[in-house]
This record gives sequence, C-alpha cells and structure tokens, in this order.
Amino acid sequence: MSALLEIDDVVKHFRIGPPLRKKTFPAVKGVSLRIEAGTSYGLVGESGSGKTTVARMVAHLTTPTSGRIRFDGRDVTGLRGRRLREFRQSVQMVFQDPYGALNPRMTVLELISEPWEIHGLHSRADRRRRATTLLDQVGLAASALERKPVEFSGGQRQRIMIARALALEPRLIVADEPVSALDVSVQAQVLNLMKDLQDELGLSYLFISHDLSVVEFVCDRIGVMLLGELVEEGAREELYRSPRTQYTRTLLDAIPSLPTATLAGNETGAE
Amino acid sequence: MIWYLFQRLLALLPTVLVPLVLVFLLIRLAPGDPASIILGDQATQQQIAALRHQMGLDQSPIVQFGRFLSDMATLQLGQSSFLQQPVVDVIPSYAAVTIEISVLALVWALVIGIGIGAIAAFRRRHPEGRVAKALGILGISVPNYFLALVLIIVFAVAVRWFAVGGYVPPAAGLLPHLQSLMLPSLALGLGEVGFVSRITRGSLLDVIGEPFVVTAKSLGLRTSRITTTHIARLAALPLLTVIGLLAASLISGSVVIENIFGIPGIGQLMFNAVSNRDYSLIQGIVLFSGTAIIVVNLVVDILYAVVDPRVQYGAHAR
Amino acid sequence: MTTDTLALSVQNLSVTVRRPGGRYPAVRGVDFTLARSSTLGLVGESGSGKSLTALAVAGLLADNLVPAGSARFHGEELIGMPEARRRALSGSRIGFVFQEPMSALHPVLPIGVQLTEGLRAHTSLTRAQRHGRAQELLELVGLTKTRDILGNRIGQLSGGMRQRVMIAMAISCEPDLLIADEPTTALDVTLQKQVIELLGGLQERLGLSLLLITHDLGVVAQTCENVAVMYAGEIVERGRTDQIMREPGHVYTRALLDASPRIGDARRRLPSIATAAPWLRDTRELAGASGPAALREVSPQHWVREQDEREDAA
Repeated sequence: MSALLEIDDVVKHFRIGPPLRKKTFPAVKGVSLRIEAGTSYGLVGESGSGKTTVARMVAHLTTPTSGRIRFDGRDVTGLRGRRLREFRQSVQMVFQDPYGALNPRMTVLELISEPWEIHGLHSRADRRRRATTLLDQVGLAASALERKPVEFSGGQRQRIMIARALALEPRLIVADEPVSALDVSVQAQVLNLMKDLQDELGLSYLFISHDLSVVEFVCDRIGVMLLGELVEEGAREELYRSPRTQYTRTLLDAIPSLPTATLAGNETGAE
Repeated sequence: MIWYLFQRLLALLPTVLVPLVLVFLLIRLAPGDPASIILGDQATQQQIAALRHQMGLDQSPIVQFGRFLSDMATLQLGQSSFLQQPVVDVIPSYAAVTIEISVLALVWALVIGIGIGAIAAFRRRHPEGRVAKALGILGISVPNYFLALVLIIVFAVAVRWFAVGGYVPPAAGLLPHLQSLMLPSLALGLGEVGFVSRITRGSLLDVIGEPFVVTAKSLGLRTSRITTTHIARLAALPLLTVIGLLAASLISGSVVIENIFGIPGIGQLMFNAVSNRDYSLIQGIVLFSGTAIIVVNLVVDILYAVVDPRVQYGAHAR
Repeated sequence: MTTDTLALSVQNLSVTVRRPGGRYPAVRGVDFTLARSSTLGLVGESGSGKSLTALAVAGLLADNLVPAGSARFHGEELIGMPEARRRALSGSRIGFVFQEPMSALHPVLPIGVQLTEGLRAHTSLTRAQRHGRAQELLELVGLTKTRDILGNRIGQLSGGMRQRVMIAMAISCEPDLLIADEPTTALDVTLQKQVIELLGGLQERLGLSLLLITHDLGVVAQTCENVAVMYAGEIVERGRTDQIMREPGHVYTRALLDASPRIGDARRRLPSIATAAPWLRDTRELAGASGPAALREVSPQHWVREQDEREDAA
C-alpha cells in the first residue's frame, strides 16, 4: 500500500550571491522518506540542516531541483495552476512565529475563512458555522471570531493558526517548529491539542523541530538531518534508545536533562 | 565597494535619461512651432525654415533625439535668444552664485536643523525638548519666502545689519560678498530646518530605542561616547538621504529667494528665461539642475555606503 | 553568611510599570541571594518578571520602569545608585549578557571596536594593548581566526559566534558578577551545550558569580546550584536546585516540571497550566494591593510561597 506522502531523493539547490558571482548552495542533498496516513513524522536538525527547506517543498512553497514527491500514490512534484490549488487542500502548513504568521488587521473569522475564500468554498453562513466548530476543536471560544490576533497570547494564536490549517480539511499538516516560540506550559497545551486532533481527524503530521524532546512526544518516526542529508531515520523508541549515528548521539547528549521525579499524568494519560 | 560604485553608475543611466527626454519633448510639444518661437515674432519665413532645418525639426523623431543627445553630450546647447549669447557661456557664472548660496543654505539647514532635532530627541521629556519638537512642526508649515520677508524686515530694515538685497561679487571684497549672501542663504536654509529637525528627531529616537544602546549602557560607557560612536553613525543615515532630497529643494527654492533678494543666480536666470520663452536657455538650465541633483545624490549614495557598509551587498546584507 | 560573602543580596525588590492607564506592579517582593562564585538560576515563563528583575539589579531599566527595594552588590546598594557610580560598576564589576545578540550588538561597528569599548571606558590600556586583549577574549570564548572576526560586523558571523562575542564583551573587564539573560534561548541545542559549558568554564577560571535567567528548567538543572522560580512577578519558590527538582514545594514549580517533555518520557499527554502572561489581562493596581504572601521555609534553605487559590493548576 502506498504511503500518504513519499519523497524520493529530493534535492534543492539555491543560487546565492551578488549578481555575476552567484554560487550554488545545496540546501537539501537527496532526501527520501515516507509518511504513513494517520502517523507523525518528526524531522529534526539544527539550523542549516535543510529541514525547513524539505518542509517547504512538501507544502509546495518551493519546488525541488530534482527528485519526486508523491502524495497518495500520485506524483505531485512541480504541480502548477489549478492542480496545485486543488493539491493545497490536502496539505496545509503551520508556522513557527505566531506573531508574524497572522495578519494583524484581520479578524479571526476572516483569518480562518481565508482558505475558503481562496478556494471558493462554502457560503457565508456556512463559513461562520464551520469557523465556530474549528475554534471549538482547538479549544477557543466562539467570541474569538470578531477579535484580532493582538488580543491573544502566543499559545492562543498558535491555536488560531492550527484552526486555519484545518479549514480545508487537509490530510497532512506540515508543522514548522510550531511550539518553539512558546513557553513550556503553553507548549504542552498545543502539543496535546495536536495529538488529540490527530486521533479525532486521522491527520498526519510532518513535524519539523530542533527540539528532540518535543519530537519524541509527538512523533512515531523520526528523521535526523545534517547539512542537507538525512543521516538517520527510525521509529521513535529505536532512535531514542539506541541511536545509530554519532550525530544523533551528539544531539541527544546535548539536551540538558531534567532529573526524573514522579511525573503527573503517568498513570492513565487522561487529564 | 567598486562593484557598488559600478552598480550606482549603472543605475544613473536611466535616471539621467529622464530629464533629457523631458527637455527634448519640452520644445517640441509646446504649442506653436519651436523654430518660430525661438526666433520670435520678427522672424521671416525663410529664417524659420532655415532654423527648422538647422535644428533638424524636419527629420524623424528618433533621428532628432539622437542629434539631441549628441548635442547635449558635446555641450552644444544653442544660443540664448534674449541674451544673444551661447547658453554654455551664460550658465556658469549664474550657476556659481546659486551653488554658493545653496551650499551655505545647506550648512544653515543642517547645523540648525540637527541641533533642534537633537534637543527634541535627547530632551524630549523636558520643556526645551517639547519646544524643539514644536519648532520642527512650525518649520515645515512656514514657506521659505515668508521667512525671507521676515528676515528682510528684521535684519535689513529694522536692524540694518544687512542690505535689503543685491549681490556683491567676491571681486569687490570678501566681507561684503559674504554679507550679501547672508540673508538669502539663511532664508533658503531656514526653510528646510523644519524638515531636517524632524528627520533628525525621528531617526535619533529610533536608534536610542535599539537594544544595542542598552548593551552600551551595560558596559558603563559614558553617554557622550554612546551618542557619538554608537548612535550618531546610524542616526546620520536618514540625514544623508535627506541631503540628496534637499539638493532638489534648494535649487527650486532658490528661484523664489533669488527673486526676492535680487540675486543673479540660476533661479533668477530661469525665471527670466521662462518669462521670455527662451527655450535654449531653459533647456540648458534644466540640464544643469538635473545634472547637479544627480551628482549630489550619487555622492550621497557613496557616503551612505561608507557609513553603513551593509548596503553594498543589497539584498544579501544582514 | 555575612553580606560580604554574598555577591548579590536582593530584598523586597519591585519594578513598577508606568503606563498611561496607571501603574502596574510587574515585579513584587523579590528576595534572593547569590553567594560568591556560585550560580543562581532565575526561572520563569514570559511575563514572570525575571528579565525585569535582572535589568533592575543591573540598573538598565527603561525610563517607564521604576525599581524599588534593595539589591546589594558586595554590600553596596544598587537600587537608586547615582548614575556615575552605576557607570563605574557596569562593565567593570558587573557584566550583562543579553538574549538576542543580533539586536544587542551594534550592526555596523566592527567587532573589534565593540569588544574594546568596555576596556576603553574602564582601563588605561593603550589602543594596541586593547587590541591584544580583544584577541585574547575571543580565544577565551573559544573562537579562532580572531583577526578576521575583529574586523567583521556582527551580521557576518553565525548565531553561535555572535553569542560568544556577546559573552566576550560582557567579561572583557573581568567582572565579579555576570548576569546572563536567556543566553541559550536563541541557539541550537548543540550550541546551547557549548555556551553552557563556556559559561561554566569561565565561572571557574574567573571566579565569577553567575545569575542565570532562563525559562529552560533543564539548563538550570545542569548549571545552577540554586534556583528561584518566578511567576507573575513574584518568587514562588527558591532553594537548592537538586532538592527543588526532586521535590518541588510549590504548585507552579511542580506544574512546570510536569509540563516539560523529556527524553524517555512515556506519557501520552503533558499536563498543562493556564499561564498566559498575567500582565496582558491583569488589571491589578498598585494602590490598595496587599504585598505578596510571605515565603515559608519548608526545609533548610528551601523557601516556598504561601499558596492561595490564585495559583491552582488548571
């Protein structure tokens, strides 16, 4: 059975530098991975590893220099025009900066309805109803619809971003460092939310992060990137218990560890 | 830096083309036949036809433009119909006077404007700062000819420190020469003080609020050191840009000021040329002014890159 | 412990924000001590007041933020200190490392100039001597190719290098006290480790007392002997790090520890607390507000604030 998302030896080169003296910078040097439907794949790496570039290629914000991307068995590399627009309904993106990614002059209702506006879906009344449902799903009250992003905290804005990403009922959400800018307690709320949504809606995630502890919490499979290459890949338990490459071990060692006291929530997992 | 210079010069080409095209069209689009306008009412048909042929008005526009460009490049600017002298001979002496006044005016504008702007920024919570801020607003609201008249009334008529008008050439004595330039340059410069002070104030406030100023404080640096080394450099950047803009303001402002004070500068010359429909002269003056402004802005661009090297790298700067 | 062995002794420190709508108490009743050559972690989330506390101690608050209370540096009172004295201490005996080096360092001045500003202000070294010292400082923080770096602007360096330059600047005059405000937050995890090790190494070599501000409990656990936890402008718990991590006394501390995901964690969900920065929604006025509840010593050197309904975990 084909996976939901397959990227096959994808390469991305950027041309950078002053005019007449441009150089080619290989941001991604041949990455392949699979994401099965209903699962989460975590792509970790440090700045410059190329993980964000991979995310952007999957979300079709940039096209690969070479390689193929397959979604649900279909080749979607380099889609354009109407087909691209249709494809966008299947894959949506959530960004890192909750303060920059939401237009401060739009109300929450406008922000969430924008995808429907662009794709010509649903009547006005319908949009309001659906937006209210989405807000409820992400844990925000309907009264938020008329307010503007400035009235919300970072965690709440992130939830609004998630609600907007869900508007088109995508099957895959590409989340680029969605909790890195948030405080620990708020981070916990958003991570819980993402997991719940996955259970409820059968979503799949491509989760980009530099934080291995966060990724371990959310993802089933993890890929480690270094300088444009995928150096190690594996199921969650394997990778964390017995990492195979030196780099992964370095990353794991570098995490300042907390002493393990008895942790709440260990018993049933219900909150 | 060489590359940056090259880029700047390359960007100049289209900029220079604009006034050239406008001047070219000026004569040819004005109502009436250019040749007869140039020659005036007394011209005969033959003279008009001869001039038309000489000016190449009977040829295609592209050829005309080509001839025009080569004429401009070789400074063949024709003859002033009312002064009966080649334009190239007429312009320099008048231009020198205007340049002198404009440079002085620039100095007034910068010294007084930056002073007021700095007070408005550094003493913003004190009465003097508030007064300075108000002066800036007042400055941009008051036209420079009004200031000129006020200055004349106060300094020339009432106190009699300076003459009411007229120009004394340097040959007649340095001190009288400078005295004759004092009021006009002040009037021209003060007209820009409001603008300069507001830009200074805004730019200083921007830089003062930056985190690296707190870092400088954390190192225990004296305020004077922070201001001169850390703040001034960055705050000066918008001012540099402003100087480029001022070049244009001062030249256009000089038309009025020279008229009020009776100074024989380019402004006066232009005024008369327009009144007399002296097209060749108008053309020459427009060219001169355009070139002057472009040169000033090129110098500003270079200075900017010296103060802030990041601009040399364009979009790749960080 | 007499005050002389304490690098920093803070008592009843408060910072009030003067806004057009009134005054707001951003930091209230903060007490803590920092022993010589040791490390104290000041931990809290956004809006907890930890950065403001650090800035108040260093005398670097903006004009609309008013400090009150006491902060003694080797016995000398810092709050309300005359500006000339503050300038004499800043950079020479108290160093400050800021959070975001890209904005905390001058964008255009060469690194060499910025590094030697402190030396220029506080020592009588000649230009050549300062230049030499600048190179030493860069080597001290683990950078090579020092001559190139000295001529560069900060935009030409990588993030990790910038942070090291920031640290080099702060220690340029060998201060006694180093205050580091979130020094690792903007960095990748391997760089974080390097910076933490660098700070630890510098502390040993120079005998620094270190006040480390962070939201990362893991960093605190690794580097600080003592910790003070802040919430909503107040200290809710303080004491020895190992003890507090093992047996947190205050609800908030416990909730923070619980909410942090960690490697090997088998939990399905992370317990969370509703802690949006209180000063975004709070309308507490200074007048009429009673002081913060007192800290109770639950065990030797372990202080926990009296708890009331306000801090209930969600």
